[in-house]
Formats: sequence, structure tokens, C-alpha cells
Amino acid sequence: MTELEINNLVKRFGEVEAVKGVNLKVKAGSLVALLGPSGCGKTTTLRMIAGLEQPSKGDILFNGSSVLAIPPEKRNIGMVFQRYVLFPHMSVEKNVSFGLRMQGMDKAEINRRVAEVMKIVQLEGFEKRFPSQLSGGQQQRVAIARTVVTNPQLMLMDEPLSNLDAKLREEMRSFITDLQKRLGITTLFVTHDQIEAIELADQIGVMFKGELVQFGTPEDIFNRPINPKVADFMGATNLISGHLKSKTRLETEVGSLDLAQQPSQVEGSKVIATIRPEHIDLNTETKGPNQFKALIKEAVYYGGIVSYKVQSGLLSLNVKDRSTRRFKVGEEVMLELAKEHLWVFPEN
Amino acid sequence: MQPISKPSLMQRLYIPLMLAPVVIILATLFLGSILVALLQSFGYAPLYGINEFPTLKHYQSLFALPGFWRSVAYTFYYAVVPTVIGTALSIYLALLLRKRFKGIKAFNYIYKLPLMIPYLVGVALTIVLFTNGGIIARFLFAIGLIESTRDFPRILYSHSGLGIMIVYLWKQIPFSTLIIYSVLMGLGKESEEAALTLGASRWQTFWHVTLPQIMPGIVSATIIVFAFNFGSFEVPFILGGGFPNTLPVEAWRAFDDADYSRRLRAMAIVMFISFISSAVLITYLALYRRFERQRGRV
Repeated sequence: MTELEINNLVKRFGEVEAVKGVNLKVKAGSLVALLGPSGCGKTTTLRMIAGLEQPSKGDILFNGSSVLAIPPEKRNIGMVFQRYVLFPHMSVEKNVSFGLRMQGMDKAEINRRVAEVMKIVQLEGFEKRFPSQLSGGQQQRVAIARTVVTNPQLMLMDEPLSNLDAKLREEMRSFITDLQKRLGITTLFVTHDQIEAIELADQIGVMFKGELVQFGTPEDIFNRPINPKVADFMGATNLISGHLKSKTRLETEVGSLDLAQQPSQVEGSKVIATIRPEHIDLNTETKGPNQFKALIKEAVYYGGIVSYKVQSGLLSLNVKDRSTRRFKVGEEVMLELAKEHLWVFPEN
Repeated sequence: MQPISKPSLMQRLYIPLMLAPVVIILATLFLGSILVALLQSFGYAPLYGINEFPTLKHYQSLFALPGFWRSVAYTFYYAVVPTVIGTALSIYLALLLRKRFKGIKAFNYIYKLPLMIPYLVGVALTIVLFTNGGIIARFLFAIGLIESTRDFPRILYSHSGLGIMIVYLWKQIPFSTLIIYSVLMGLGKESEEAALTLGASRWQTFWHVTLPQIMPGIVSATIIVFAFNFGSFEVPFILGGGFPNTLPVEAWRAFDDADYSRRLRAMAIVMFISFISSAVLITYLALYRRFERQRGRV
């Protein structure tokens, strides 16, 4: 099993700095997600690890040895591309055996390994088909089979599920985690989907504008985002401005809010608090602290969840309600913000 | 349910009428001329006061002509060799054009220039460069590599066909490159990158992944280039090695003869060229389709 280490990795395309000094350590046998919006440099980072792009600065190490001078074909990595990139002129069998054939492996050994991996990806009987005769999910499984059959020391996946429909994506998520645990290949995958990252990864690296801004377990990233941007990207889309009255109390335009986590900022400093839409409760009567009045401005039903847009003074918040209650547009409600899910960041 | 009404006469005639201008031009110019040539080659030429229809004598006399089969061989040779060499160089050039290097923009423009210049200009350039008194001979003489410009090897006006092939390559490499480059651009680099990450060397990647996928472009380019070379007249006429020359040149000589009855032999040559050229291209396409079927494309 291979440990991956990235030291101060920089990539410039002319004047544009796509990756700005990324440092990352992926433990041997673990599955790490690089999460971020489009254009944040995550795919460029992945391509540099694969050897498909040459870094402008920094180093990439496999088990402590730099691989910068090693061309992609000699790095013993496997890469799964967003658009599968199966060879359209080859059958499934030929696609899967491609890497082994290029190594000049013995035919009997190739057949044995291909049969084994076809069983793992549950595509037995599809050997003679061509990629155009397969569904998206099957094509993706062939792409994965083609990669794992060569026993790569590192598997890189570039948005592997983004071209699949919602149901298939869910199936493939558990397929990938099962496969990765079973084979124990160190895996780094890139995604812009926070749910995918949380469900798949042992650890997540969040990237913005070429920088790795937070690295940690899915729980860390989800519950303890390092700044409002990460919080927003992870779905905590409500931002509330205010100033700290004390270490456990925040004064905002809609009233005082109790905090469970003690912020590092000093009392009196201007801050921004974030909270996820599902951590705000809607009531018709006052029950306790952290409550204030608001008006329902919009209500959209999403099958099991009602998404509300509520307004309190100038503050607009999103609320996701899983209960069976229904509030009408124009109705006055009480909002309750769960204090243990309120996160405070410096205003700038 | 409403019954489906029958289309009116105008509705039924709409598509045939829209196609009529093209069909009339094609039928008159292409099929008409082929039909006239075919009839004349079988002895029907009342225009010249000849009506021996049906006779094979013009074909028989053609095949018995001294130098005819050498003419066939030259026609093939001048058509196939530059097609093969040109295609290989075009593939290389197309791959090169995908790389980032200084001056790529200028290079991208310059390589297409021959496409806009007539063949005859290429012929003139070849004469200026490659004759015994040409620029290259003078340069080699000036630097002392040859004792006299007469020592410069005979490249033009010989049956080696080097001059003819130089002109063909000059004109056709940009054409084939353009086609293959377009296919390469459509293909993108991802499948090559996938092959590399699977451990394939650069050569293996080209041979097993790139080449099979750009085959449609290569086949289109080679068909057009071969068909042109096989039927080309002016280049072998000017730069060829005299009698026997290529079939189109021999057809013209027979057609241009003071004896009008020779025109029927010219038509027999024209029909022979059309038949051989079509047979070669149909076989080539059939082989290509088989290749594609084996790869699940068709």
C-alpha cells in the first residue's frame, strides 16, 4: 500500500495560478476526497499526481520518494475519468485487459486476472460487448475494472459519478467504497458533490481558488467548517451577521442567540454565524431561547422535505423542515436556531 | 379519429422539385458524360462518323499497345506512393500540431498555404527548385558538393516520378493533415491519457488507441488523395518522363490526335481509369468496413 504526500504543489498556466501551494498527506489504504467547486484546482492537482501535468513548483511523493521525474506510464497509478474514456474500438474484455497486454503479460495470466476483476465489478457475460452497448453505470464499472486489474499503487478518480443518474450514483458510491476497502488501494478522488465526499471518503480536503482550505474527516468538515465559505459549500447556507456579547452569546439584528461552541474571537468583535437549513426549527409558539419571529416568503415541497424561505427584518434564511406540518406563504412563525449547530467565524 | 388525408400533388412533388436542379446537373455532367464515354469506347460515335457498336476492338487495341501496362503501373505508382508517404507525414504533422510550442500559430497558418495555391504553381516551383539549372543544383554547386549543375541528379522528367510526387506531397500533405487534425481535435486527449495511466508507452498509445480512432479521417483523406492522384493529368503531363506516361496523359494524347478515330481509344482509357479507380476504392472501403465491424463500430 502506498502513502501519498504532496508538498507545496503549485501549477501555473501562463498568468493564472490554478493550484497555489497545496499540501496533502493521504494515508496508505485510505480514501480521500478533494472537494470543491468547478475551477478550484482539484482536477489539476489530480492530473499532476498522475503525471499528466508537470507542477510549476513543489513535490509529489509516493511512499516518501519523489515521482516528478517519472512519466505517467511508469507511475503505476490507475485513473478513472469523469467521462469514463473507454476505448470505443475495443470490447469490454480488451478494454479491461489493456494495461496488462501493454505490459506484455502472459495470456493465461491476463485471462485469469480479467475474469477475476469482471466478477468483482459484476460484469461477467459482458466481455464481448463494446462500450457503446453498455449503460453509463456499466461503462463506469468497466473503467474501474480496467484500472484495478493492473494492481495500481494509487487510484485517482476524477468526478467518477458525475455522469450518472441519481439512482446509479447511489449504487456506484457503495460499490466504490466496498471495492476500495476490499482491495485496499490508496484512493484520491475529486468531486464537487459534498454528499458524495461525505459518504465515500475517510478524509476530505476542501479546495477553493487553488488552495486547500480545510482537511479533515467528513464529520469535521460537515460540523466544524473552518470558514463561512466551507460552511456554505457544505450546505450551511444561512449567514447571520452580529457581534459577540460574550463567549456564549451573539447579538444579531433579530435578537440574541446562545452559542454552544465557544468562539476564539474576543468579546465585542464582529462575526458571522452559520447554520444549516435543517438545523432551524419552525414553531407557532415560543418555546425557549434562540427564537425569533419570521414570515414565510416561499414554500416548496420536495417529497418528504419542505423548503421554506423565511424573512425576519432584513435577514433572509433557508429552512428545511422534515415534519408533516405545513406553513403557508405569508404566515407568521417562530424560528428556533439549534445552538449546538451555530458556528461563528470572524466577519472578514 | 380524423382520417389521414392524402398528400396533395404539390406536397408529393415538393422534394423531387427541390432536388431537381442538383439531379439535372449531376445527371447531365456526370452520368451523361460517363454514358457518352462508355458508348464511344464500344464504338458508337456518330459525331465522328463512326458506328461500330458494339465492339471491343478499342479495348483490345488498347491492351495490346506497347507501353500500356507500363502506363497502368506508372499511374498506380504515382498515385499510391505519395498517398502512403503523404498520409504518414500528415499523421505525424497532425500530432505535432496538437503540441504547444513557440510559433505554433504561424506554423498552423503556413502549413495550409499550399491548399490555396494552384497545382501549376507547385509545378513551377518544383521546376525552379529541382531542375539541373534550378536553385538547389546551383546551391550545391556553389558550396562545392557537385562539380557542375549537370551533375545534379535527374529528379524531374523521369519515370522515377519524383517530381510528380513532390508536387503531390506539397499539395496533399496540408489537405490530409487538416482532415486528420480535425478528427484528432474531436477525439481529445483523454483516451491517450487513459492509456498512459494504464502503463502504455507513447508508441503503444499511438498504435493501439490513437491510430484506430483516427482511422475514419485517414480513410477519408486517402480516398480523396488517391482518387485525385490516379486521375491527375497536368502534373504528370508536365513533369513526367515521356512515353509511356500515366493513363490520363495517354488518354489526352489519344483524344488530341489528328485522327478522330483515336478518340474512341481515349474513351476506352477513360473507362478503364474509372473502372480501376472505382474497384480500388470500393475494395479499400470494404476492407475498412470490415476493420470497423471487428471493432464494433458498424
